[in-house]
Amino acid sequence: MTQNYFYYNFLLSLTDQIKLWMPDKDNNIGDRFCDLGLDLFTEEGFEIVFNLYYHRLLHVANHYVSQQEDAEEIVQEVFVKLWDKRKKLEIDSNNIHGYLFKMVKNRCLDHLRKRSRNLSLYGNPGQIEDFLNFKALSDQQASNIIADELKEQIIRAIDLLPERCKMIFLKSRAEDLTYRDISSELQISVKTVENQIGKALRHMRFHLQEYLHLF
Amino acid sequence: MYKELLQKFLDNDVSKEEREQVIDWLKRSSDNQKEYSILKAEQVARTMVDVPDAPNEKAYGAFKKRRGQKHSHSFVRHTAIAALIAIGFFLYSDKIAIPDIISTDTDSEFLTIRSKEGFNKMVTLPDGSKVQLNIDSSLKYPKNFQDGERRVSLIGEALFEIVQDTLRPFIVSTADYDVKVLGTTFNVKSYGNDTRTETTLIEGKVELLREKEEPIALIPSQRAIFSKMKKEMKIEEVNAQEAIAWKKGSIVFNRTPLQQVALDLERKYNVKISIGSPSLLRYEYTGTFDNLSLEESLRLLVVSSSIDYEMTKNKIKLKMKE
Repeated sequence: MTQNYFYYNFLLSLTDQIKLWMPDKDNNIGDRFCDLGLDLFTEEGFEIVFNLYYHRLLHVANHYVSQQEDAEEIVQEVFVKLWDKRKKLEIDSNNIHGYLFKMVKNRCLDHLRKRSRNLSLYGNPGQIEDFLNFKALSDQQASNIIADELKEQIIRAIDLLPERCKMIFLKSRAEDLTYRDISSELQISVKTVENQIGKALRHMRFHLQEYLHLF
Repeated sequence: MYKELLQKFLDNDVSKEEREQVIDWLKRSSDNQKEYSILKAEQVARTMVDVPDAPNEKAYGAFKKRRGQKHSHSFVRHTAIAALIAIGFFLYSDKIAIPDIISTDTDSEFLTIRSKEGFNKMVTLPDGSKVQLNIDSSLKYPKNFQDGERRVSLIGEALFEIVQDTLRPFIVSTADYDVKVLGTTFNVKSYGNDTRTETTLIEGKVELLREKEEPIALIPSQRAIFSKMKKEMKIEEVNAQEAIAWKKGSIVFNRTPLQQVALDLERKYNVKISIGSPSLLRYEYTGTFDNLSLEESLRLLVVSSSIDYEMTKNKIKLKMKE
């Protein structure tokens, strides 16, 4: 009996070891937002999304739309649209990622199409540039490359959010989950859980120091 | 096509001849265009960074302005969201004497504006926000809004249309609680006499703050009623337009206890109204008085309810119809 128990534990610890070297599973962004308890209906929740996406989407728009002001306008309008749609309950944290990139891409394409009636390689330099950008952005394979990079960056950024760190810490303390529980629930390695908890503890210790002088 | 040349083209680091070369190459086939598209996408992905060029707060501020513009109505000159909160106090005790004159006390950095009995008064605050004072109301505010907030004190009733400024939240102090404005239009009714304080939100979002209590957030068409006696807060759904009907000289009653009807009529017509029997105090009256004279109002009251009245000089007594 005891032998099985030890063997079982041995296997478990092995899988933990493996997870140490495995990158975190590519969790759906929607799941991550869900874990965070992100609420798009609050100003704070919406601002978190804005801060994650705005400058990245602007970066994309800037590369395909020649004028910077136009690029800014496009991305700003997409967020306003998002704000409205979220009120009508058409968008939530599950589909927000796909929505944002698609919207920016389509609006850029619309903008490029509007700028000259005949986009071609035979026009003036401006038309040529617009044509090339239009082709480059509408190419599915090309835009997928950008979409994938965006997704990776967003996932990494979410994992670094202080809110996420706090959430993991609370799971361990308030929900009384073991690191292993948390690791399998969130599909991240135990090492990552440890890191986040350590971060939370350091953060608290640092701020507690400010109050220690009262004692 | 040599990748280096294409890359230079992407970086806009080409001579005129090199540029022509690339464009000719692109003209030749759509496969070439595809190759270019992919190369460009890789560059965009490669250069996408975690840290923004400019701080996001600025962009977020611009975004908030933009979404606010979609909801502004003719009343608002600035691109701000106005909120109407009606706060009403209903107290059955002695009236607070407010002088007849419109006065502007200047004590150091504060201004106090009072409305004359029988008249509304419009005030424009240093930041451009507009406040419309109802009868018998006074608003105290600093000559300049400084630091991190815009704080005003209100006795009475007023309609606020607040200019959006996320860096400086707008706070209305009343005797019982503070109303923190998050970019809205709201009506605050807080008369010393009244037994209740009411805050009605028309558009936007506000928070009601009391010491040692959790802040209460309101959404449009909600009214928070604070009972001074019970020290309790109750939230109701209301017709927000009715709450601010006083702006146009209308008074709207919706199952309003007669005690309050009397107070509102007293205020509007500057008369003394007494109620014949204690049980009548809680009689609920529903009706709208659209810019009526005192006599017309009283007649309407008689016609639309079981209430009758007796008038001697400037004193009116309400009683049950026989």
